Amino acid sequence: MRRLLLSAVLLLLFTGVAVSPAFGFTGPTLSPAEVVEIDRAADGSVIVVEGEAIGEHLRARGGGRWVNILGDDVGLGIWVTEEMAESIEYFGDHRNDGDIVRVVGTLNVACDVHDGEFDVHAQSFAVISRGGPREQEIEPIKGVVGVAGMGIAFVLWRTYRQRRERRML
Amino acid sequence: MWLKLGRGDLMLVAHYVGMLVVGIGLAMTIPVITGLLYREWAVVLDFVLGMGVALAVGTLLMNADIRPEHVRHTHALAITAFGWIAAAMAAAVPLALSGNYGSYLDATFDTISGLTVSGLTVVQDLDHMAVSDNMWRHLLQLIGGQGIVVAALSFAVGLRGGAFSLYLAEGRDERIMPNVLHTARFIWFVTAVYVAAGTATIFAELTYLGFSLDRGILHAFWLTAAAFDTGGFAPQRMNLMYYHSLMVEMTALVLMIAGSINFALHAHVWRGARGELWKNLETRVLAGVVAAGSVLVAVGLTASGRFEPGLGLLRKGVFQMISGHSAGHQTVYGTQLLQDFGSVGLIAIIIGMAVGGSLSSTGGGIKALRVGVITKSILLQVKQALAPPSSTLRIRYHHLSERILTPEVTGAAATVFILYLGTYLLGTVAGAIYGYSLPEALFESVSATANSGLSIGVTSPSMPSGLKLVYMFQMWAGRLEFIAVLVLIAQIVLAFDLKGVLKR
Repeated sequence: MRRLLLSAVLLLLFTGVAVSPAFGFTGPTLSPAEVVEIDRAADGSVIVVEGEAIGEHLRARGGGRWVNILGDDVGLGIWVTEEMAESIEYFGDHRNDGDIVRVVGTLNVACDVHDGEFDVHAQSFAVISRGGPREQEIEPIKGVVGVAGMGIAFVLWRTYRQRRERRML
Repeated sequence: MWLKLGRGDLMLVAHYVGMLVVGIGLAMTIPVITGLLYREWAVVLDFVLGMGVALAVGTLLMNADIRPEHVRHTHALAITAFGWIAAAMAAAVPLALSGNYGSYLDATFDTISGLTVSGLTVVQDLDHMAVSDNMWRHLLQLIGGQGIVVAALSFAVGLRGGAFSLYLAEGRDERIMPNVLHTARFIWFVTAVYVAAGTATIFAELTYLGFSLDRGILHAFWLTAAAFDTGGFAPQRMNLMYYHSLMVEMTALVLMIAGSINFALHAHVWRGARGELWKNLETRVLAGVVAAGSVLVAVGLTASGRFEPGLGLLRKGVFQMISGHSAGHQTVYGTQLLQDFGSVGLIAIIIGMAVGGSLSSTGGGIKALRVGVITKSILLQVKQALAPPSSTLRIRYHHLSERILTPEVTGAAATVFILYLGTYLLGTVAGAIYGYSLPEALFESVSATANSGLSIGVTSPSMPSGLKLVYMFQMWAGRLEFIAVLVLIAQIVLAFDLKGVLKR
């Protein structure tokens, strides 16, 4: 009896996971650039999109948050819950690479809820790899050339002033 | 009779161009300070190098003529034409080193776009760009919107004689104050008021959205500068779509409209003559084109079946229509313009971009007053055809004062109108040669020439270099309203005696 119960629970769990949008959706994973170019027939359908979370998460009118994700140098707005937004640790900017997230959600070419925005309403949201600090490569030679240029400019400026004053005398 | 610039004239031109380049070098102090505050050491070094190059080249050019004589009109045109190119090339040095541009050409594309307040961009990975680089891009729009010569004039930097010629050569038509230096300073005063108000408003909105204090201030300042100066740059790849905010978009809309209005009209309103806003032919034409265009865009969007009547049409349709006239901020993707606006919506936006803003504003394009004058002239022709042969008809229009439409005014407007149309066509042909479809080539060409900055997707880092050069030329020529550029071309023809070569 116990085994039967355990099997039933496992089966239920498996079925739940399989039909949940987070894991069960088997469509191709798109980049934000591909989503923007997508055939308009896909409007209203469930898609999977992956990209880097950038900037910060923002308050959405009427509840929820906006997370903008980046892929192939194109950004896309994802409407998520507070909990989903809080799961992001790093947002991409000059100092950091953002977390890479995978979203399963409904594509809206002109969202009715958000005044015609081109967005994706997340049904499930997962961070698939953590971002982290980006390295700054410092090249001191640039500073040396720059300071040398300023030195030359100073000498040329003095020459200009002296020549001008001499001419005026 | 052609007036050929001699060696002395060229030295004088070089002197003033050098001063503008020095000005650009000094302006780099602001991104340097920004970089120091944000500890962006690598980027600070890029700007130190850029500053060194600009100051050295600029002071070298200044030595070409140590006591320049009075600046004549031809000098002013040559200084302006060369000055804008030299300033853009100097400004591009730190950006080319930033790693966000594929080449020095790409960086120069963006600095020309910034200074001419066009807003087309070939930047890569903008969302990871350093704060100081973003500061520089937006600062260029602030300087370019008012005009780099106006900027120099307002600080009265050594521009002795011929200040008004320089002011006119930069595509400005009206002296707002009796003194041209006061005019330049008034332009900066109006800009400062709008930038302060806009920054404060957008900062409050961004804080509500969840921005941190410093990011909120920076984004608010950048967006305001780009919107009021009808530039269109933004610190994020998604442009205004990044913020998902009706309030941010509406504030930007107000700033774009303010930036599209003639500074002389701002002065009238400032002095209490608010009625001028409604009487002025320029604002009437602008309002008419925007209203008609907005209806057409709304028709196009609803016909696509994806947009419901409501706020969406305002945020995506009317916004793009007004933005096309001015800054080129986008609340839709380039692909949406092609796929979701329908032909009628696309045509409306192209016409809006082509007409552009007002004379003596930060906006580009043919300009509303010229369109109004040409329309009135056509009306006069029709009336004359219908009137008895002995009658003499006159037609009046109101632009800051009551004026009579003269053949000279009509002729000047028609000349610039034709030059714009020709350049729109030139870019369209170039785009088509590179394999883009007619709507794409036409849209991007008009956007570049009219310094609008909306993009249908043609402008990108992977765009052919030849097309980048064409758009750079269009942005530069459009901003200077062609005359300075044509004088420069004529001088080159004369300098190399190409006329003689052609005759032989």
